[in-house]
Amino acid sequence: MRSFRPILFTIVPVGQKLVRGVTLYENTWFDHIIVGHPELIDRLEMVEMTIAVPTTIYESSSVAGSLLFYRSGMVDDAGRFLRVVVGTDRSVKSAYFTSEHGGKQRWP
Amino acid sequence: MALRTRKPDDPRHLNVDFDSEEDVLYVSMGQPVASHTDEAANGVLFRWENAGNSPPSGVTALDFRRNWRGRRRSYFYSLVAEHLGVPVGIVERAIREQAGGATDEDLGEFEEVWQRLQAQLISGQMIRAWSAASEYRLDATYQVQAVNPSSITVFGGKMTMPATIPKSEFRKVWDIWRAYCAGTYRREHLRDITRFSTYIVSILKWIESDPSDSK
Repeated sequence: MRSFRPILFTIVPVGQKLVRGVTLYENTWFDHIIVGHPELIDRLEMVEMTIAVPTTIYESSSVAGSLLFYRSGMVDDAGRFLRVVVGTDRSVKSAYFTSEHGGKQRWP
Repeated sequence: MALRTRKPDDPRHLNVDFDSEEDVLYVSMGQPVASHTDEAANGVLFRWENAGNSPPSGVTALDFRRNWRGRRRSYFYSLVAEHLGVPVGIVERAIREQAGGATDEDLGEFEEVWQRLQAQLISGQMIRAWSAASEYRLDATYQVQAVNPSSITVFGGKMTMPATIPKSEFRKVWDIWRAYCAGTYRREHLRDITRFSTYIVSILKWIESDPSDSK
């Protein structure tokens, strides 16, 4: 069984009915996401805003059951979108910048 | 800016990190650098360095254990090797040495559950129907008719004939089992995964509870 994990935040994204709440665990962010994707260092607020007030949510075509959160304006210096991947247990799996949307739009 | 020199024969030059709880594998050429990402099939993200002429900088694999089990893992090694321009053997060694045990943990956990089912589930055992939403209020039972190394056969409820459920179907449900029990994985999605979901969730619940209580 899963042991206790400190939570960085749990947010209920506004305006949608796909998920009740999305959780980002501390170790996922500090030990993995910003280590493996250092372009996200100092961009926790962007991740938080994207989950809290998404403008579109896609269903991933390559990771079954996962949702992809986007928020307009959340881009890197080259204009690539921030994509936050939320897994089936509704925790953040990873986040990164990409130039393409993916999967099937689920909301709005 | 420090220049990165490639040492393709040295597996330590590949930096591997595995997030076992979210099932995400990060492989980088040397220390990870600021990058952008292109998504391929099966949760594979190819990363390209933001600086310079954007050389390949790494690969991230979402749902790594679920997507790249068994013999499929060799194909994953070759994808990483091709993207990063290093020999596939180096990729395999780096992942095995730096994340090997952890990457197989979940598979081992399912095998343990399957072995417990094989040991404790006997022909004639009655299983009460269970679901995350209704728990045991479904008012149905299934009888185990056969337990084989690669399948379990049950009959009962509204079934018109026995159903032989392959081990692989149990594995599919096990992958999302915790999320389903926590109420964060919807029932209709479970039905998309397997047509045996009703029986599998009841059997997994039975083995997670104390089976001696139901004898």
